[in-house]
Amino acid sequence: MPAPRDGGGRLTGVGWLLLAVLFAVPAYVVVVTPFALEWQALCAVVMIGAALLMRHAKSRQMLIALMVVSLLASSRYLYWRLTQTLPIGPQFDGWDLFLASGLVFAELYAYVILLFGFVQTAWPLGRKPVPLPEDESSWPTVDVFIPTYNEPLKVVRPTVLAALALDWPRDKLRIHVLDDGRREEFRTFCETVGVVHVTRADNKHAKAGNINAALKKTHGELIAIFDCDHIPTRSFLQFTVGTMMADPTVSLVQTPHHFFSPDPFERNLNTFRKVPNEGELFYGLIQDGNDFWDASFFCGSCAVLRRTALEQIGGIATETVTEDAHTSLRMHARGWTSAYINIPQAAGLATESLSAHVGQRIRWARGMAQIFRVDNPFLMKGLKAGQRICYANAMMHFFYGLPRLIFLTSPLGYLLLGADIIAAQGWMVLAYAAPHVLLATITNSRVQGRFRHSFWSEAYETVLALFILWPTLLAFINPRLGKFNVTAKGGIVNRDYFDKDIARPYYFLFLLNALGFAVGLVRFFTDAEHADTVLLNVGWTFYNLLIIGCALAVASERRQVRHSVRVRVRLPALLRRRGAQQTFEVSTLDVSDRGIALDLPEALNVEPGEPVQVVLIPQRSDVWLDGSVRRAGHGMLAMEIGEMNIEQESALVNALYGRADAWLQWRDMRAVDRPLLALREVARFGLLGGFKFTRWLGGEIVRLVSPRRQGTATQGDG
Amino acid sequence: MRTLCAGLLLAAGAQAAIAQGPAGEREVELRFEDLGVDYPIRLRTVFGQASLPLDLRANEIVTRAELELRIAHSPSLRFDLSHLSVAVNDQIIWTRPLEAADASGKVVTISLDPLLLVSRNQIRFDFVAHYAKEGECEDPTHSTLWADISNDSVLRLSLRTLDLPPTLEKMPAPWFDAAERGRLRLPFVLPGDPGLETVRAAGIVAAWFGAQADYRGADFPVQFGAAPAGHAVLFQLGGTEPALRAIRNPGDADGRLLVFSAPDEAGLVQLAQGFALGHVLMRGDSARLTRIELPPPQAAWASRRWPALDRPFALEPYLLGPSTVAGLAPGPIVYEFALPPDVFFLGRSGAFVDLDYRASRAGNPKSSLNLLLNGQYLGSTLLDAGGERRAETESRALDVEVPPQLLRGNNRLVAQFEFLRDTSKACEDFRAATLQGGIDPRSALKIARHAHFAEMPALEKLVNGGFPYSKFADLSQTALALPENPTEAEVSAALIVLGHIGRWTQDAATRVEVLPLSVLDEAVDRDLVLIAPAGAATLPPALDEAGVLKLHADGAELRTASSLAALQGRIEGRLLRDAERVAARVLVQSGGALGSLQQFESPWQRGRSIVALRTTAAADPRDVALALTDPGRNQYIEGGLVLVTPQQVSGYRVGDSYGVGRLPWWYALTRWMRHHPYLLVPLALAIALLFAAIASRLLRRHAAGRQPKTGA
Repeated sequence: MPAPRDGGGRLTGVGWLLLAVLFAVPAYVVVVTPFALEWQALCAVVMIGAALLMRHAKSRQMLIALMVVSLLASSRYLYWRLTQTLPIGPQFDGWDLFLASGLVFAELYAYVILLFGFVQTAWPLGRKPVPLPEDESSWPTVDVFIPTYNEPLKVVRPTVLAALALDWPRDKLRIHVLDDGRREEFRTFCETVGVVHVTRADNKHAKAGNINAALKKTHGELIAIFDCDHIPTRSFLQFTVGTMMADPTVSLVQTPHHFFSPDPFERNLNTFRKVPNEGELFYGLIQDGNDFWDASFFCGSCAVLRRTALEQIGGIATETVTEDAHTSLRMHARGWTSAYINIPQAAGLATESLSAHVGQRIRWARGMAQIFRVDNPFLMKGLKAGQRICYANAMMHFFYGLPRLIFLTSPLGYLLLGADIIAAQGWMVLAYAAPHVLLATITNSRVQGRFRHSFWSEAYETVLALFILWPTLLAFINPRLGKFNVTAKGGIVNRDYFDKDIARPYYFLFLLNALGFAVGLVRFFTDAEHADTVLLNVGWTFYNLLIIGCALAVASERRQVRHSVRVRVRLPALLRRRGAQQTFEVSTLDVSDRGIALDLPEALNVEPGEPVQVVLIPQRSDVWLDGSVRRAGHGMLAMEIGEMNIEQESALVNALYGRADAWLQWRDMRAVDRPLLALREVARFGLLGGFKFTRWLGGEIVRLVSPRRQGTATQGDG
Repeated sequence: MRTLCAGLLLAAGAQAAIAQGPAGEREVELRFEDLGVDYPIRLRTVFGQASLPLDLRANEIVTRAELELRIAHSPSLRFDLSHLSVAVNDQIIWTRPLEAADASGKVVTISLDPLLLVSRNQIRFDFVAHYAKEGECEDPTHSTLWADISNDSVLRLSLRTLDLPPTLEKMPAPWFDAAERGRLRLPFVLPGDPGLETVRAAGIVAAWFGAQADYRGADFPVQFGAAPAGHAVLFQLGGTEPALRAIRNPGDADGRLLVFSAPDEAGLVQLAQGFALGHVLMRGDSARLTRIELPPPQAAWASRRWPALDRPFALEPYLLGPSTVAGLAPGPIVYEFALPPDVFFLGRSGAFVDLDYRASRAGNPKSSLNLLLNGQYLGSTLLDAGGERRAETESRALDVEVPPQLLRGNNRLVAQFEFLRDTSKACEDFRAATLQGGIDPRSALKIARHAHFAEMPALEKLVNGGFPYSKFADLSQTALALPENPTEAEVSAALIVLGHIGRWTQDAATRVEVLPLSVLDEAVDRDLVLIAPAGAATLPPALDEAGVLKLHADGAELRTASSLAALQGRIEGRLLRDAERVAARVLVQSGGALGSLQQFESPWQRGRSIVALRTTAAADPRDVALALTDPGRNQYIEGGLVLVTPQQVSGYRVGDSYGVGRLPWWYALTRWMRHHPYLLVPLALAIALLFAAIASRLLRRHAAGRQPKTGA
């Protein structure tokens, strides 16, 4: 941790040294002193009790204290683990030691991640946007880049229309669609709406190359970049540019990526807008925490960059597949700063299917591993200590594949193979490990509770662990190994099915753990001498079964009903029969780009099929959208929107996506984390996944046994 | 050949039955057991050998000697070829064929030619036996080849004392003769009503004799005034300069007196110091000081008793007996070494033994070398380990890690070759002598990471190591405190204690001090031994309060620990309450005669130890002091309180604990934490809260710096 700047200059170097010793010496004693079982157990109970009390304190100071206690407990566990429990000696063989070193490696990894995570999230900055100066003529010129390669125009249109509606002086704003597909359809559309269609001769370096090519053709002081499916709100530039004007060293202002459709987890587990999704921890907390250390980094979209900074480092980095973080890292190394504004100012569609989701995460993991090799944040010149830790954590986080796999299989080494992985008595392990695990859980729940519920990390990570293991390993060995995959979006899951390609590795894990669990139970009742050790491993295996069950539950794809994503939102609207004078003030129930559901005014009597017209947010718009009634009754009117011209489409996009407050309240609607409740939820999904998998497996076996019934049992969840 | 090595014999105090014969002669009956043969002598294989040493006093000659052997042997031998021989100093004096009728036991009386016996002798038994008939193959190690000589067997000697002129040249004989295996008993004669400086001089001499007597222990009865019969050491004031003389005991023609005389007490002390340091020129029956200045004070643990621990030390100097053995049933190779009693192991290993050995490969590949420390098995190696044809001239290594629990003050490391005959080829010619094994002189032992620290009170460390007084071998940190006018018994107790310490230091106790009890105060910066009669008045009040036992003239009261102290003691592994209960019972049963040893920290200086030897009026302080040197009784001495009653000696782990020596800071910290486990969570919370208080202020300031500067 860098010594924070000392404003008054009161502490000299010697003073800092004394302060460090003051903490280091007692911490050393707490960590390294070994206790007998009864005292360790007592300490564990008291420490956990203290943490449960500290958890309720609201102050950030108490949260830091909780982090320190948690770190002390974990350090104490790990020290004990490393000095007392390694199976070294004549009674152990090399196999024991091999498995044990695997587990120790995984535990060390988890410890480093815990430590870095605490540093990273010690003080989320919660930066406020800086208001722009009154004088519009001083505002900088902005180029908006919307890179696209193979996405259909349908996906890109709303983004372009929303970009056109950005609140910014028209003469200082230029929208560029960077079309690497070089499609005529796009050129026509761009000409129609009045934006620049930028193409280049080749597709070198994919998105990074696309942007770099466009950089050469444009001259705006700032560059705002949106993925082609990230629709900005009109206030995006108002919220972000002020920070850049206030501080000329800021090279980047990043905002969160917000998704208004459920990701595969949310869809398959039915947790959309109930449990924070996978991205929320990063955009809600970690980037904000990074900002404190001046280490929030570019995420490829929804961000404003300074042209001079970009040009200084030679444009967007092209060496890795996560060019965004890499670019930021280089700008930070050059002394540029960054800012993160934790207010969603753009939104998009989440990945549709689990396989697409997995593909995307593989790319991230691979890219981060590549950066770790190409420009290692620990070795790179010009970074501050906090930045090193934050970047390193962002990269090392993606190395969880192997440790996760080890945690999922370690108890099996003991239960199935009889290996002594931890050379210690079961109760002793419990007495040391319980405060380590529980305090970390309690503290993380307190730190992350609003953005990630307890135990969900295990589920999220487990699903991806086996897929990112190999790419990260390859990239770590040689950054050039492995191939590039693009995130496919806009697909649709049109039926329920069990994605057995994704789930295949988890079958084996699940079956192995189930076997271990059964063997363990038998051993528990027959082997009285090691009952505590067996019980510990059986408990651990059961937990693993639940987590793997969760992964299986996610792999069980649920059918998507609608083609367009409906956004539940109440907007003011005017409603009338087509061409009629009488209008009704109503509000919407939900809106999509194909239809609108509204309150049905009592005075209005419409039949299905009848043409109606709607103005959304009449305070700011007078564009009537044409449509016809699909259903009416029970106080609700569902309307299908008909053909729209550009003006109408733009009005719909602006009303639906362009409002400054469009996504603000989403986070506040979530339940606060309660670890035991979260555990119950995860356990429920685990059991459900296990059940679904077993049913599917049964079907497969039946199909194998009786070929005549082929075709009826292929879709496990039909 | 099997040698019953001296080390074995030494431990037991030989209780020889003595009968008074004709004038100037005495009859001695030594059972083999008294000579230290704890088990029957076992003779095995086709050619079994065993021997036992016999040492005689320098001033005595043997007039008649007789050996009474109790033999039993295998009944299944070929008696025409099997026989047993006895040799004295390699001269065969007796040989007989074995007979089937005597197999279950026979007593043989053999008379020895007394002229064969010199001062150091070896009696050897050779057993030659066969069982195979003509033309049959014979296994030289067959289990039927056995004969036992009982350790009840007896050696009878008639000894005559020689009337030699008194001389100092054979020092320490005749006052101490290494041939005696029992406890040294040497009366000290002091002038009536001696000053404490005279006692100091006597103490320096007693420590020197204690060092000579070594494991035997030493008793120094004290008489004021006249000398008793026999040998004695006498101190007297007078003459013009310090002088040392050997004279005939006026009351006993056979007795010799070692006389220290000087014009004043300071001269006596000087003479004693010079004597202990060897700074006297002895010629005939008198000697004078050659030098009076003392060497500079010694460093801690500098005595030759203790090996240097900071680097590996060669085992060679600690070898007892031969380092090479041969034969099918070879004897052990034995090393004995001492460790300072305050060696405190910091890690999980105690020592590393790096043994280089050589062995012939004539035997079975399963032949092995076993290593034992203090009777505990440490490790072994197959002599043929590896199996490849390696030159037999090469030495091989056996490296063993020793756990700290196995190491003691006195250690006995035994390397035992186990040769097995190669039985794969029947009837092969076999010569046991081709089986040879030896330990290289460069074999070494390294003491693992350690500090010099002892958890006190620990009277067992006084018994085994003379700790803490022995730390500085010239006793520059030691003082004895006696009443102003000590009794004979009190002076004797003081001399016995100093003799005991001298046994451990093996060095001249030149800098010891003897003080009157009444002057003790905080100015005395030494480790103390108090010899004080019962009653509060005899001690400075601070010292009387410091111990757990208050001794009155006719009884005692035990100060019990507070509940908090008892709880703390329990955490540290000392069950104070249990010990107190037992001690209280012994106190009640003791009646009036009670002696005690207490150890506690000085009320004036941290880390200074005080041992108080106190007795009720009816008990003898000598008895308590002798308990330190008596192997039968001193094994019970431990902890901070020892009660000595006529029936028993018992030690108790009671009293406030304290530490002597210095631990590395990191170890001291964790030790403190181990002793205060209930403070772990409070400490962790304190660290966390304090850290959070400081960190949150700094972080808040940093965060403010990161926020946009409005108005910029």
